[in-house]
Amino acid sequence: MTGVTPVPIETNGFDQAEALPWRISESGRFLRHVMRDPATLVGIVIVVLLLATAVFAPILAPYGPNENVRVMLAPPSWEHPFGTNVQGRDLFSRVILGSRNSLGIAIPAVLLAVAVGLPLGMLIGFKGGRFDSIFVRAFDILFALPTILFAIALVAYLGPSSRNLILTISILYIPRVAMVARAPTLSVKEREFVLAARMFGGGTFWTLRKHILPNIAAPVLVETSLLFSEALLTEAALSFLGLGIQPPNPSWGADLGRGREFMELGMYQVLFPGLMIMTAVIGFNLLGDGLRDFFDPRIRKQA
Amino acid sequence: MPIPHPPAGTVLICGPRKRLRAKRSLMGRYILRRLFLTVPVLLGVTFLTFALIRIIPGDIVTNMMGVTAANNEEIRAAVLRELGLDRPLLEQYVWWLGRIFRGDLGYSFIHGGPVIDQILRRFPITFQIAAMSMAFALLIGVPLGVLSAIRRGKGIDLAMRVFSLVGISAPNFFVGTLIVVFGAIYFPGVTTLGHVPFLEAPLDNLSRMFWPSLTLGLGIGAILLRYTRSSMLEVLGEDYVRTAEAMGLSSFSVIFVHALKNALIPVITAVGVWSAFLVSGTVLLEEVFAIPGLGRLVLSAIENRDYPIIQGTVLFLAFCVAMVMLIADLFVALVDPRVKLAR
Repeated sequence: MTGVTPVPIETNGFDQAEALPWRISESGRFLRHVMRDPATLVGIVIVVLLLATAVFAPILAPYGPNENVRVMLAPPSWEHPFGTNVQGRDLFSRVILGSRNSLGIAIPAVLLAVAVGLPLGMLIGFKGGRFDSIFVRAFDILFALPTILFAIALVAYLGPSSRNLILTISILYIPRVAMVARAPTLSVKEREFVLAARMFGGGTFWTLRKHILPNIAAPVLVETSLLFSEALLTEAALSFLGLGIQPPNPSWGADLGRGREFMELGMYQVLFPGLMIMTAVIGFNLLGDGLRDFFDPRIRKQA
Repeated sequence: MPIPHPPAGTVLICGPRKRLRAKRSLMGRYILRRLFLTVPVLLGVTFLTFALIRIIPGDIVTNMMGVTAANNEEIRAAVLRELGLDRPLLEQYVWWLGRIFRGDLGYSFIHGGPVIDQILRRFPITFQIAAMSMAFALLIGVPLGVLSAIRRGKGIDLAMRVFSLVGISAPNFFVGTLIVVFGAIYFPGVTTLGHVPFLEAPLDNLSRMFWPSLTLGLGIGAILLRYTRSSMLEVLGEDYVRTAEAMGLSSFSVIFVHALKNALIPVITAVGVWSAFLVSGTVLLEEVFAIPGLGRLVLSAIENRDYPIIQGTVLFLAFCVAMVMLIADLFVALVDPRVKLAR
């Protein structure tokens, strides 16, 4: 039954049988790939600009996040490109400074999920058997839970704070990373070099690190990039609902949510925070898609 | 002496009627197995919801009721009793599970009424948005996906790729907010907010539900577009499609009768898989469009610290997602003869 099987989430679109080996020691070839693929280039540019904005936010922002500029609910002008909000705060500065909070939640959350999920996924794939099936069943349950709803419930019990947001988002993504790491481990562990490593007396963790990890890094990298975009969305959604970053800290989601109260004054109250969320998500999605195209030889063959 | 049943996947060399009967029993076994596999998922969901309030660090009563109330012995005992926290852990779970099986999700801290009543009262609203969104998603995603696949590499394909990227990346609460704001500023006569029961004013109901459903439908449609496009591309490369073309069938009939039928199978599976996403989106859009469904029930419960409501609704919606996944899988098994023979 070629071709008609649906793409399971956990394999991230990679064809297990064909997509071996994935090694990521080909930065030069990746650069050439990027140059030929404008979509990936756009993604990289967006992500780099975003990171730069977050790093240099205090320098870039003309005003402080909670500085009163003495104009309330002003429409966009040269002085206040995105207008001002009801407390007389410059929305442009808040959007710039908000990048720190949004990325400051999304990046640690995803890294934490990878730090736990990657070893876990490799281990359950490598050990196999009952150990493997118990975890896979458990993850199936987590996949059935609506992400936002579960996050809402978790935050409701834990209370909204940056640390809890990071924890909540990473808990939600650990099974995703683990499943993405597990699928290729299942096939890589059958290959001769792994058998040879085992035969020479290599321990489980040494074999995982030296022989499995380099060969499964690519799909995990792709998933990581896509998870960044999802984590940004989740953070924004929670902040939008008032369960994420708390006022008066600048946050795209929260500013979008609170801008709705004054919507009859004009779109600008909600437009710019929302556009920033969207642009950031597009950036990470393009990067993830580009990485996948690069690593998946099936697509490479077609091109 | 009973004849042992052939293992699944065996090609039976026998008459057509016998073969049909064997096929039917394979189908029956598949359904049974799939139903059986749903049980641990549902149990796991109950366990997670159960564990949720018990894994939280700190004193649960203080978290829920505040310090003053927690220091009051009477309130403390009442809360612990209501949550069943005054018993051993395993007993708590079994007791709680037994309650759920009897449809008892506990009582609201705020209103005092049964949680299940509140959920059932609001469920039709959430269900309507979810169903309409999925209808929009299919109406948008499938035709555009087919179009994108048959015009692969052309301008329209590129436009579809951009559309799906933007649709996947645009937060639906942002798109929804823009619709509300745009409507409020430029079309003050059109009501996008709020909800009226369908039975009271069907037209008004539909015209209000149209916008949140369209918003969510665009997002999920963008995902389904990708699934349809890639599965359509694979199916179009199959031998039987080439045969159909070679036999001189019109390209319309090849694409829509022969190819699409098979290309839709992974799309249906995707509908099941993304139903969890659908529920998340509905929760957000109910907040944006001020619709009193289950999403707003949870959100207001969080504001009021009404934990039985939160717990009950999360459990209920997770059950719904598991059911939609089950139905999608069974539907695929019903229309795709390959599934039940696969294993």
